[in-house]
Amino acid sequence: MTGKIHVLPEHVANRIAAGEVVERPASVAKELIENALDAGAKEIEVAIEESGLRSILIADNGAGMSEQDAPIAFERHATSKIESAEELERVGTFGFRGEALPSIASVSQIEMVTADNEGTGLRITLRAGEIESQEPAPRTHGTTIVVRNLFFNTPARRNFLKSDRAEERRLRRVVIAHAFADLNVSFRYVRGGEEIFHAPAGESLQARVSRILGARIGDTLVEVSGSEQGPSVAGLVSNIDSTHANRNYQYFTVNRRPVEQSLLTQAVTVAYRDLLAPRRFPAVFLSLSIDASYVDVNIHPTKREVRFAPERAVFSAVQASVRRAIRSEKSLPSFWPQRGGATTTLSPGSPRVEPGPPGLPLSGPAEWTYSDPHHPESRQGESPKTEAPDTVAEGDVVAPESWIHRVDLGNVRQLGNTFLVATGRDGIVVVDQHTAHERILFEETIDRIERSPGDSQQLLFPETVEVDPELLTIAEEYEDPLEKSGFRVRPIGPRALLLEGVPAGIREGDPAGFLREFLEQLVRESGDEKSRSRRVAASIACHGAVRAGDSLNPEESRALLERLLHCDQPLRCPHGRPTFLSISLDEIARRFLRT
Amino acid sequence: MEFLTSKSDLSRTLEMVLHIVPPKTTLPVLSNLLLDVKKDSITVISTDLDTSVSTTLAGEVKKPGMVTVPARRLGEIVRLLPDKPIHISLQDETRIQIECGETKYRIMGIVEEEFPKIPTVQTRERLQLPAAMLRRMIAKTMFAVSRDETRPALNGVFWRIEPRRMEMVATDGYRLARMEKTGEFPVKGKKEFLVSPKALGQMINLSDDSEEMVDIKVDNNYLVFSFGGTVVYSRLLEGPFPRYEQVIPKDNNKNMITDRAAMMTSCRRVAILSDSLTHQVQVSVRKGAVVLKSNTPDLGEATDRLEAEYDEDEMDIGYNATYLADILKNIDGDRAKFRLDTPIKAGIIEPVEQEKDEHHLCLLMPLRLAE
Repeated sequence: MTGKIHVLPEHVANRIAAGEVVERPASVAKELIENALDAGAKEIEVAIEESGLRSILIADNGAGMSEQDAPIAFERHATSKIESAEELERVGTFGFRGEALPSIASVSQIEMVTADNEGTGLRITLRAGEIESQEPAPRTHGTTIVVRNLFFNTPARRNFLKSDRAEERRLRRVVIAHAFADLNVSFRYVRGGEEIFHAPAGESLQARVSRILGARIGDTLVEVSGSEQGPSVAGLVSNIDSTHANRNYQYFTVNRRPVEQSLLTQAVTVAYRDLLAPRRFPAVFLSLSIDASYVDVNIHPTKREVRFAPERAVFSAVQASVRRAIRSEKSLPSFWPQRGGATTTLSPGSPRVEPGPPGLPLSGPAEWTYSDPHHPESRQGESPKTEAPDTVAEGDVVAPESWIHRVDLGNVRQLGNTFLVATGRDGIVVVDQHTAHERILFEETIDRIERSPGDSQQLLFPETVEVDPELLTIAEEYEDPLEKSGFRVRPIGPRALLLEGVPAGIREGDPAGFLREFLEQLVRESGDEKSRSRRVAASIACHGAVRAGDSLNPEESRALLERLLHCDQPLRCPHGRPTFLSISLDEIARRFLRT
Repeated sequence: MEFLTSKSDLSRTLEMVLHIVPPKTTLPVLSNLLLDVKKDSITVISTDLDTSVSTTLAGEVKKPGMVTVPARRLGEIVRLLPDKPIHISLQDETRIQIECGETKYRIMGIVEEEFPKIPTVQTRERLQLPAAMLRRMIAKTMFAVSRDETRPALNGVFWRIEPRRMEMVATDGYRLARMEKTGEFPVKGKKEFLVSPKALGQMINLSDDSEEMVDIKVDNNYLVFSFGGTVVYSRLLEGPFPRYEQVIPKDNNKNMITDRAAMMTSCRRVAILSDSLTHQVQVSVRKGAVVLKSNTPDLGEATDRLEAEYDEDEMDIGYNATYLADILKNIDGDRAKFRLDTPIKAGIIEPVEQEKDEHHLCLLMPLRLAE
């Protein structure tokens, strides 16, 4: 009787390994770009068709492979990069496991043309990992590899993929991340025959950011440099006035290797703590240099995450250098508190940006939460920076109806052009006029949108909105929800949208900014129609609300408070900030030592 | 500085200059008027830095000199003075004495050096245009100016003068009003500038219902116009004003003609039950009629119908009722013509009967109704 256990044939083992390394088109791009870099390439071109599933071409001018090496490269654990286990301690190359090529080959059709300095060049084609043909082919040194019909033999894997656009976005992020990681290499990215960007070698990081993501981001960065001890940190981060609605513009590099690292994200978050409005995120382009022996890149087959030996030191080095950069004079806002325009208004009571769920921003869980006075803690935020009396804490919540009778609406005063103060039977109520108005408009707008979604005020002068390719894809992908929300947009060229209509009822202001914000929010969370209409409503509310510093006369103050008290959820603005706090008579008595 | 004047002369002068004085300012001297008394003239000047008004005051100069005096206080004082000669004199550097009959004030001014210098215009070219024509053009366009401070290029009226044609255009991005006038205009080449509604309002106020000519000078930064002893200096707004010619549809061939006033009333009627945010009304053009409708769940619905000349495809178009009523209010004549294309394209609204030498046109962008 033969045993039940047997060694898997190699093609099966490869296909299993592929499951770990090759999750999606983006992983193919990542592995192949890293191979190109390891081969010393100074020019890399990535060209894809249809999210990369149909084909991904990566061409480099690296060392290439000889006729003898090329076929072996597709065997499992074949690598030129390390020879012994000891060398794992000091890996200086991106790859080393020898898994990538055979894994990719096992689930696709590959055509590779490669030549080293001596060789004449070799064309080799494979299907599902099996070599189909080999023939000489002229080429200067370097490798061009085309991966076609990815997952053609593993349909189940295909089913796990997101939409074409989402997959393309991930792939593009991989290319961009590498482009930011090594400025001495030129990167060209082509999608469906259209050049999306071409970043020449040797340009500055800022130039590259502007080139790839647009000047809107590139021009609002401050420089981060150095650190006294531990790893060195360098790069660019947003000044605190120019933040974004998601973490899409955060790129980290460790020893030239792009990583998605929660530790680093958190360090940046902590550096910006107290400085950003809730759920605003900086753009970050940071590169860390750490002695290779302190970094373990071999914790995951895709090497997306790395592990640092002195974790604490890395964390504080990043935090300290970023903090220093954004505290520098260049980064300070021109007015404090800032007025008008951006929604990133700094206000003394802004809750901190929560450390939030780290990881790939694209797959991050929904972070947009709505105020629920009965569960104020569901906001996952931390307590506001000012030690405001937490009178809206759980125990204190009073049903809105009863507030109306408890507050003396006949005598509402404005305080510092920012707050409204009213007295009541049981104490004093202080209302933040902006968040309160936001709440009111939010509920009104929600109501309206749910009644008649998609009414769109057409613009006499359609506005060209500059967006990076990222947002452009999102606009295409979410065309339907955009329309349902009242936006009418049309892509014009690779980095601009023509805004032809805006949700009816939005007041004045900056429709382009509103659209960008809305798109950024769409990336940040998926969601059903209802949650999207809530998002439009929140944006409309925020754009239309009176701001801190706007003077209100007594009638306006009174009307505002009255309308607030009639809201379903009067205690928080749609972004989760408190709208009002109350100080009870008991509390006042206690402060006067009357108890 | 010392002069005599009368209550009526001073009141009239103050009326010209006072509404330029900014209600709130961080620069205290802007709350004051400059009194510039020369041997043979008394000039009163107010400014908010963007617009300045300078006007002459009839009176008898005793001693030349200059000082600034709190504008609103002076206004209140003059309003309550008895109808007797007023004697104004500078006591020391900034203390101004006002005597009238038995009433005497001493009021603290600010030295004139602090008052902003009135700009000079770098042009020799002068232009004279009939006040009545200007008033009309301003009135027919100014209502469409955007009040959204974040879009400064839309905060003014665009004014273009050519030898045989003149036009004013205003828009807020959702609607547009244009008034064209043909004739002979004394300019060399083409002049284009963007003027603040405040300055144009001055022009209307100053010339009142006069038929005389307004004197205009303009350079790259300022527009200066004078009329009967009063000069208004206005800083031009920075554009660029949008290229509106491109958005005026050329082939809106579906014409609907209806009674202008009835349509306006009808629009206001149904708007009562329109959405408070979008003010949306649905305008349905039918053969021989136009039906206006609003429908707001939780609020109710309203319909109204009026006769119209229309013989094309029937359509339902959404409009912001406020804008529509506004346009109908601001065009002339008994009948209004709607030149339409599709429910998502700009509609043209204009009076059916127009003067031979003028063309008034309004554009209104629809609200695209969700399917």
